[in-house]
Amino acid sequence: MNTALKELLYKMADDQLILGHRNSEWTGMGPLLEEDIAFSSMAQDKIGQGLALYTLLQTLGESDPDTVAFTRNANQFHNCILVELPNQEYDFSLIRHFLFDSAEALRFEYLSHSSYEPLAQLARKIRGELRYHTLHANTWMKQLGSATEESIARLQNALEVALPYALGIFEASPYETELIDKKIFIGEAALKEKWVSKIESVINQTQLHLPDWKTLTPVYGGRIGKHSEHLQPLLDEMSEVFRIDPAAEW
Amino acid sequence: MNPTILHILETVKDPEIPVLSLVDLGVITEVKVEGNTVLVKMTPTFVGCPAMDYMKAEVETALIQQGYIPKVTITFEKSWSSDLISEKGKAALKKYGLARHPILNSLLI
Repeated sequence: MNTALKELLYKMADDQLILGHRNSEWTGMGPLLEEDIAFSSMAQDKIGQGLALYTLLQTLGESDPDTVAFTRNANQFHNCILVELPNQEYDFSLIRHFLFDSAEALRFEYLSHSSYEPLAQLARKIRGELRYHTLHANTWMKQLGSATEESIARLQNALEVALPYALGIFEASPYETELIDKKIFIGEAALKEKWVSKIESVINQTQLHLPDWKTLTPVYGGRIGKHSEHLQPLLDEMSEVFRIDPAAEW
Repeated sequence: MNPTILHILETVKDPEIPVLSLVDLGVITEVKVEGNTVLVKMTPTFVGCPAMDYMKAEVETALIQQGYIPKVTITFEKSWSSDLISEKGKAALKKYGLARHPILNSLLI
């Protein structure tokens, strides 16, 4: 069971850490002060959630969270490619936030019923925090998705760019059957189905439109360590201070 | 909660809101006294709370100073929400000029 569970925890922790880092890049750069603070605050939440998941992994025999976070190379990370893509303009960051956090909110909702009790307890806490993240994303999606010609066109374009990567969130693990049978997690396929209806329900309240899902080709690879060229530079920057003196007492 | 231990833990304040003890904040979720050893369970207000280790160390120090052996664990067994702030804590917050956030559950479905 441990191998399957660890694979699940690693991919979730890595997603949180990497998107947390991307969110933190908005600190001081937000299009308005409130958004600057919102993305910074979500960065703190996500990195904290990543830390809690790495701490769970440590109880299962993995290295301590700092070592795991700061000493691996890109091919040892299991995050989906969506979260490592550069922030680009605010339109792309908002669309990614909406697509990813909608999936996360559902993921942790289901995990709050996991048969692995330490994960269920943590998930019950995380799902409450993610409600604020999706509230934030949905508010701006509805606002900007029906505002001006430019805001609608920008979001539509970003949506089309991001969707194939968003489908990569649900890249199947080699342990899906085991996780489902042991009631640890409902599995990526079931999660994706719930996510699609959630995304549709929000997009339908805007002037944006979703392409036919069947025409989209998911971008996979992140879960098995095959990443875009954008992940390694992010890791180099994130771990720069840690690597100067890994044994330093802070 | 054991009144002696409660009294000791009430001296430990939230590092960001110094008028509020950790007990009144509601982050101390369980206390058990076994002889000289005090087992304390704490839970963070939010998962990424950067003050957690600091608060844990403060609790340990306060207990050691009174001659106890602390065993403090951080756990998510019981989730914190602002409902766990005591009446005394709510009054202290109000006096300090901080409002509890509104309950948004109806908005968050």
